[in-house]
Order: sequence, then structure tokens, then C-alpha cells
Amino acid sequence: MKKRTQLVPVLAALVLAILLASPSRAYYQYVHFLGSRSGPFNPVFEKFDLTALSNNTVTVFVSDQGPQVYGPNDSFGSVLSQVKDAVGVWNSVSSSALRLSFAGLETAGQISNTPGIDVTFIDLPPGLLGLGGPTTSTVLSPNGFFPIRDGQVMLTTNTASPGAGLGPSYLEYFFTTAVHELGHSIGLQHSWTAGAMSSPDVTRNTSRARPIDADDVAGISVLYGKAGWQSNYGTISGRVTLNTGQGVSMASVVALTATGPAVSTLTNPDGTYTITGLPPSGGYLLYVHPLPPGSVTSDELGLRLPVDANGVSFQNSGLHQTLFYPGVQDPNQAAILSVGPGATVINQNFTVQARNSLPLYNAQTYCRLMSATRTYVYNGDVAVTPAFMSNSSGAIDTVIIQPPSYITLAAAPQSATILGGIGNAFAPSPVLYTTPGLTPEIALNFLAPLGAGVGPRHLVMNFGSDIYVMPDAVNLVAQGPPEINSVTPNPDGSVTIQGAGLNAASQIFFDGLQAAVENPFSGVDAAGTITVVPPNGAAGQVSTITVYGPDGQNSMFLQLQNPFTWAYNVSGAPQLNTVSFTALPAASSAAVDITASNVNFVNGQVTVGFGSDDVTVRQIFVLSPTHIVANAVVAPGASIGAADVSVIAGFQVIDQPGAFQTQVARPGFPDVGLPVVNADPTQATIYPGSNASIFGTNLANGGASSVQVTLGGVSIPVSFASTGQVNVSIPSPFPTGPSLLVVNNGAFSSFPVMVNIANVPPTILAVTNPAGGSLAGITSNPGDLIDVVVAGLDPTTIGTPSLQVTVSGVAMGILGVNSLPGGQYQIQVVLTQSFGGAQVPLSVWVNGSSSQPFNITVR
Amino acid sequence: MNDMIVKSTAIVHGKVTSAAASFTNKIIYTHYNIQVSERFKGGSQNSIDVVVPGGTVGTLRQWFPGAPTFNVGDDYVFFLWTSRAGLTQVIGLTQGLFAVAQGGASDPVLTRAASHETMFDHSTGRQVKEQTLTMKLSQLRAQIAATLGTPAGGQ
Repeated sequence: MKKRTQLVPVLAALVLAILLASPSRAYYQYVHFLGSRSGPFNPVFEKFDLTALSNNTVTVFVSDQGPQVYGPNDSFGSVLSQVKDAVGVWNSVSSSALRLSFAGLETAGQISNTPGIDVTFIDLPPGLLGLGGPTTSTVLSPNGFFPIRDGQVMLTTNTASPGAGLGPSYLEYFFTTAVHELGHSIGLQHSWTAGAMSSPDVTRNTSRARPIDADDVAGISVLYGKAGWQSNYGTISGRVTLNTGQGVSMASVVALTATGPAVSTLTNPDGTYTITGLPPSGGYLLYVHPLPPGSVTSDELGLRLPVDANGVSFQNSGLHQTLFYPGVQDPNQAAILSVGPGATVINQNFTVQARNSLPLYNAQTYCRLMSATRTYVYNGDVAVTPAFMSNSSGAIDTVIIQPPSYITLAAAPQSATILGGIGNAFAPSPVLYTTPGLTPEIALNFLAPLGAGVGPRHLVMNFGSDIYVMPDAVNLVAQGPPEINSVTPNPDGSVTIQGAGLNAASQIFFDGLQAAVENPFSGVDAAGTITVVPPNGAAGQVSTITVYGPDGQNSMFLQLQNPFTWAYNVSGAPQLNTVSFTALPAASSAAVDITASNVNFVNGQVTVGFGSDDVTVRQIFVLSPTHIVANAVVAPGASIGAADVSVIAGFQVIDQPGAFQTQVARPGFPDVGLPVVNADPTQATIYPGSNASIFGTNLANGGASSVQVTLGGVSIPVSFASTGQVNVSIPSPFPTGPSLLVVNNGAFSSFPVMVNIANVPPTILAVTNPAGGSLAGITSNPGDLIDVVVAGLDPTTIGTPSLQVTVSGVAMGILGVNSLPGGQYQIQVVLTQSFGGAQVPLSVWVNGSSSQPFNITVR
Repeated sequence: MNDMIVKSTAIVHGKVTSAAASFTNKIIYTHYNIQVSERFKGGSQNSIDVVVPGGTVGTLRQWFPGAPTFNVGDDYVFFLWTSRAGLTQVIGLTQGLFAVAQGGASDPVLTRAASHETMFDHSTGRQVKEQTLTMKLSQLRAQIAATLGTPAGGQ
């Protein structure tokens, strides 16, 4: 570890921006209109074909070459951790059916027949941080879209900073940039709403805590939304026309709530628009603004314009007014729209006047931070962008608007308003500051009232003839940024972080990996501690420590120049010892047993890859710190050839190029599809006494009698068998935990696959009132407290989301769990819903599997 | 601008004479042949192969936001950078690209559009906002010469 030995330097206010900022823009995809050029305009998108993917999952492989030049204390393991985190961000969108999986390393140019995403490191021209984009077929899919064949993300091969590329990978904007480029690779273009896809990047307001926003979620959901996803979101539609009646093409229409995110879209060539993916709210404001100059150029530097069936672009309209619906400049006079789940608000039409120029666009906000006090004040010594404001100081917050240097502001706006109760900037602001040689800036003074809350807030500036709206222009925070004061190792290997601005929601990162909390936050804002267990490090590795808050602030605000670091006391390079399968045929699944040395495998923190998009890893079982089993699936149409075997555990990276071989499929060979599931679709786990269904191919040559299935080396009963499905009974008792399953179809035995035999769900022994009286035959009321006595409850699930009590499928509130004699437990439950006096089933669920129901009656 | 002049391995004024795209591993690069009419820095070739990521090969199209596309006959001043792998690219995709106004003027106006991909300021190590720039060819020629400490005027 290294102690901070110098103070953060005083930085010139007009120059420095520590983190990303953000105005937001609309989500937008790669769009084709294949009908008449005069409409109607039904968008046809470029996107991954989910049916061509295994389990709807696109794998993301990173080039095994890695960057050639690293910045101080940077490493390949750190780079990989950030990419893995960025992949996880897009994978986390629950309304999208597309899943993304970080899949380890591959050799450059690896051939595969399954679509995937490749992250490579190249000599980017000076000045460029990264590139991302899709490789798309120009042939329309029968399913009505242009399929993405591969996504490409290119990051610099030089992470040294300053001087070239993105800088060290431990910085937050390496992560947010990776998120941005991955967004391009899955089919999203730039947008203008402060989300991950916003452009220019200095206008973005994303962070480790909020790497994507509602606009990004809407964008990916439009492409890959799960069936019925729109029933949870609302829609606004309408048309934007000039006062001549002509439709406005590529205008950005934005819906936002005063304290919520912005979601937007771009108008079609006839001015019509539809914003989908709006989180339900009764407080939406709607506004339209033109794309900033330079967003679209004839050579497509920015947005790729929509094209017709012949590839001819639909041009965007010129500049026009920015207006709130229904045609007002003042957001306080704007209509407030209520958007319910699954509802569409129609006919929200705008009429705008054309403009020759805009008073302001592509601006960013910043503020000053006083490093000595960690407070945002007008005369602070550090500039931070986007601007932060304290919600509790009672002091004036000064927000600076910095236009791009190609805009010469002649005057300050007449007024400026932050939505969400903060109100107008007060006198003498807005003020235009002009300094010779520097771009004029606008200073705005605000005072956050009590109860203003926290989070991003939107800014509206009125220049008289026009307005400029900056979504998420300012972040309201309750305390100053975190700052680390000491890093102390403990005998058990944990590390205690002591500093200011820490809280219970603080996350401690070592480079790009979050450390597990051993002792949660203790202390006060001025001085507190959190004890964490560092992620697995590699020999010789020095990790940079960053504290991230839930409000977008992090310790690099104040400690960028000399952050605390952690030197791992690890010796010996990690290496593979055994790999049970180094070759598998197409159309097969297998549990690949892997042992290694100088590693420390931890459940949930290991990646195993087989170097090809055709080979996916469905699940990894950590059997010991040096022993894992990976369930690998080789696609039926897999490309034949060699690929990398890679294992990544924390920052420990093992790569064996060419160590895995994909072979031709074996005719008649049984292929066990994964996962093996409970035959009862309401049960999420397989446990002793349950029935399991095995799906796959070539599972049976004849009837059930010809099929043999072994679990953990023990033959188990087969109740049904066909070529595509085999049903088996899991014996009871049977050891819980990972167990190898093999299917013999009468001619061949499959490769073994690993299945997890879970604990039997608990058994309900009694349901009583708090006095111990049985509820059998008794009618309960909503709000009543009841006690559910169970046996067989896994105590590790107590207090976790995996333990649930439902009544007629509706989750009830669990107030507590008490241990009883004989290994029984009493679950205290409050009935939170009325059931009209009906008899309804009460069930106890653990890890997605339930007890037998116990019927109760609830009014 | 001065940093870009220093970082460039070549600065030339020229016209695009041909374009062809091909895969390098999984990346499509479009190769543009530039017929050089004036050299301000580096090289002695009369034509240069400049690559831009993205393009169309067969039925596959690859597109990267911020990457320019050129038409045959386009007239630019190019700030170029040759990688260790030997690929010559425009610095910062569009940072190093100045469109030359047509019309036959002896001292034409040059315009650089703003880019919309992530850019980086070498001197501060920060991301920067790209600027639209307009200047005369003679002004650019003089600035290059001043920065490099060479006599004004191309070759």
C-alpha cells in the first residue's frame, strides 16, 4: 500500500473536469425504413438474432493479447475486471431478453459461427479512447430485422496516462467508456439524454453507481424486450411539425419527471414519434429539441441516419425551437402527463418554428469542490463535472455552465431553473463571465430547500427567444465525496479503509473489482471505517483503491493525483494443472473439471472460457480454492478448430492459447441440454424426492427401458424417455450439492454434466396466530400477524431474499425468524393483502422451490 | 492543434481517388487512396493508403460512430498517424480532418467538423469536447510551420 504524500493540486477552474458529465439524449438504434419514402414509417432495426444465440446469451471475449503498454499500477487483470463489470451492466437489464456474458479470452481473429462480441486492443489514433459498433448483415432476416453478426469494441493498446488512450483502467471512465462502446456493439447509437449512450461524452452523467439510465434501458428493450415488457412501461406518441405543417425529421422528443430520469426518441422523417419504455409516473413533462449542430453530418460522423430499402438516407430537418408541451418555454407552465404501465398517451403534438442558430448546446456543467472541507463552494480548489450540489448545507451552490469553445455566448440566460423544487437561480445570477482567452461561462446560484432529496436534477435555461434543457445537469448529494485517509492490513487478510464521506452504501473497489465487506461502515461522515476482503490478486500486482458512493461521487474526486494503493503479497504465477476435456464435439455439453495452482477460486468470482462464441459456459461450481467444474455447451453448428482455455479469478488470469479443440459432431451421441430442471415448472431447484426433466438430443434410442441415467455414479429411476426428453426421479435421501449426471441412450453415454442437488424445501408443520392458536378453520384479516412453523429450513437463507412466504402466490412480509427446539423454525409473517374470505394456499419458498401448501382463509 | 501537428506522422493535402474495404481479423477497414497535392509534414509519397475503421465487405457492414466515410474526389487536409502495425489513420478520426472548400480559390477555407466519439486531451489527461474549426489553408500552413520550426509552405 502507499500513503498519500501530496495534497491534491489546486486546479484551474476553467480547465479541469474530473468525471463525466451529462446532458441526456434520446435512445436511438440503427434504423431502416423499408417502405415508401413517404411513409408510413415502421422502423426495422439492426440487432442480434436471439435464436442464433445459446440461451439468448451473446458472449463477450477479450483479446488474449491485452494492451501492450500499461499505465502506472495497471494490469491486464484490472482491464478485464472493468470489461467484465461493463458486460454485467448491459446483462442486468431485466426488461431485455438479451443476455451478455463475459467469457474470458480469445485469440485474435478466432472463428466462430455463433454471433458474439469481441474486445480488442489496438493502436487507436491519438486522441481516441475507444470505438464500438456492430457488424451487421445487409440481408434482411426472415424475422424482420438486420441481424448483427458480431459486435466490436476497440480499446487502446496503451493505458498509460497521460499521453495516449483512456488512461489507467482503474479509473471510472475506463469503465463508463467500456459500457458506452458495448452499447454500440449491441445496436445502440448515440443519444442526447445523459445516459450511457449520450454524446459528446463530456455531457454524460453516468457513474459506477448509475452506469446506465432509463434511456439506455428503453433503448435496449425496444430491440430485445421480453414478451410483454411494455406492459410495465408507458408510451407517449405524437408528431412534431414546423409551423408550415411540414414534419420535423430527427427531432429529439424527451419525456422526464422532475426528479426522475429522461427518456427520449428521435422523430421519424414525417415528424411522428413514439417514446416507449417510460417508467410509470404521474408527473411527466415532455419537450422537443433539435439535434445539436454537428450531430449529423453528410459523412455520418455522428448519428447514422435512417436509410430506405436502397440504403439512401432520410435527412434530418434543420434547427428549430425547443419547447415544452403544449408549446411553452416555461416548464412550470408545461402540461403534466400521467403515464401508466402499459398505457399510451397519444397526440402529444408540437408545432415549432425553424431557427438559424441555437443559443446554447453541447454544454457541460461543473462546480467547485473545496478539498479541505469536502464541500461544494464557489471558490473551491477542484473543479468537478457534472456539477454537484449539497442538499443540506443551507449554503449557496454555484453551478457553472461551460459551453463548447465554438459557441460564443453573447449574454447570460434570462433565467435558469432546476426542476424538482429547487427553482430559479437567484440574483445576481445568471451571470455571464468573460475572461480574455477563455470561453465565456454562465454562473448560476441555487439554494436547495430542505427535503430536496438526492440524485440527478434537470436544468432549464431561458434565453428569451429559446430555451436549453440539460437533463441530469446537476447531482444533489447529502454529503461530500469520499476520501481515504488510511488503508490498514489486518491479520486475517482483510483491509480496513478509514476515511471521510464513507457510509453504509459505500463500495470499495480494488481497480475494477469490488471488495467484499467484512465489517460494514462504522463512524460518522468526518471519520469512518469499512473493512473489506480484497479480491484475489496476482503476483506483483498493485491495485488502486477507490471508494464509490451511491450518489455518483468517488474518492478520485480528491485523490486522483495520488490514490491509495494495495500491493498484493502473492507469489507464483497462476497456472492450470488439469483440464478434463480439452476437446468436445459440436452439439455436446460436458462438465469440464479444472484444477490449478497459485489461485484462489471463490464462488461467483470465476470466469472460465473456451475461446469461441460457439462454446458457452453455463455454470461454474467451485469445489475448492484450486478446483472448479464448468458446464460447457458446444453449439450444434460450431466452427471446428482450436481455441483458448482461460480461467480468470479476481485479478488472476490464466490463458492457454489453442488448448481447446472443437470437433465435428458425433452422430447419435446423446447431448444433455442445460440446465436440467425440476419437472414441476413452479420449482426452481432439483432436490431429493423431486422429479427432474432432462432435455436434449439423441437422449433415447428406444423407450424408457433403453435409457439409463446415473447421478453421482448411482443409477436413478427413469419415468419417461424420448429422443428429446428424459424424466427421472431424484432419490430421497440423496446427498445435496454438485453431482455428475450421465445419460446413456442405449448406444452411447453422454458426457457428464454437473447438476446441483439442493436442499429439500421446508415442510410446514403449523400455521398459528401469535398466541399459538391454529388457524385451521379460522378466518384471518389483512394486517394480521401469523406464525409459520417449519422443519427443514436451511438456516443460511434466513434474512436473505431467497426465503419467502407467499399466500396465493403473493409475497407476504417476513418480520422475523425464530429458532425452535428440534431444528424447527418459526417464521413471523404479516398478511399484507386481502383475499376476499377465500381459502388460499400459504407456501414457504427457499431458493425458488416451495413447501407443500398449507391452506388458510383470509378476508 | 499544435499537439496534433506534433503527434502526426504526416500532414498532407490531397484528394480521395479510390476506396476498398477488407477484414483485418474481425475488423473491417476501408482503405482510401489519397493522391497527395501538398505535403506539410512527413513522407515523400505521392499517394498514401489511409485506413478508416468500418465499411462494407460482401453482405457485412461495420459502422463505428465517429468514423468518417469519404467519397472519391473528396478534398481534405489530412493529419495522419501511422501505427506500429503500419496502418495509417486520421488522427482522432475526425480531429485530423479538414475539408477543403471547393471553388478553386488559391487560399481555400478549411473546416473541421466536431467529432462525436470519445476524445482525449493529451496534455491534461482528460476527455475533451471536440471543436468545429474554420481557417484558411495559408493559416494552417503557417501554424504547422511555426509548430515544427520549419519554413512555411508545403512540398
